Amino acid sequence: MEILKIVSIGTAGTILAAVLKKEEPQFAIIVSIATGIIIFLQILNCFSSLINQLYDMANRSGIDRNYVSIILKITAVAYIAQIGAEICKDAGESAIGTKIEIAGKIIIAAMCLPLITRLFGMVINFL
Amino acid sequence: MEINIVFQIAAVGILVAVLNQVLIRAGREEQAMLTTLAGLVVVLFWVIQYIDRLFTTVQTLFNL
Repeated sequence: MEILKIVSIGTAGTILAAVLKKEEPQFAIIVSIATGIIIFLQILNCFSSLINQLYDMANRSGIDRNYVSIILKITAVAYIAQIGAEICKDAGESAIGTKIEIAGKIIIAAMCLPLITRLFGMVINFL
Repeated sequence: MEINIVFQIAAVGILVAVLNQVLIRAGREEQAMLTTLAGLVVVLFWVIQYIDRLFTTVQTLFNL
């Protein structure tokens, strides 16, 4: 099954990172980055079918197409920001990790702004 | 399969660690430092391709 492969890759990567941790800490970090990327690449394949179904449901239920694409963009930004932040925290640089998280939140907020202004417009029209 | 890259990185890491010890015992600390850097650069080249692949897949998938 899919999950067995992912768990085996993850444990193999952690063991190798532990082996390298004492002698060469830099390589341990790179091993953990590589394992994370491989696991994420596996997940992306079955994620694309999820996205297509999401678009079909949105079309059928009449939701505007760019609302769904904004939601997907936000999830993508959240994913990548979280990957970067975790890598930095693993390496011990939690300050850089939190900076990346804050930057991710700001980018997501910037993406939501047009939606919020449209919402206010609608609300004001009602009143 | 995908996991090869992790094993290759670990192999380079262990090799560099052993080389480091050998060079330090032989009294050549500078070369030890240089072999570590060389190993690091090689490994980073491999990982960069995977990072690039990850980001392009995410971009095409989420049509950013």
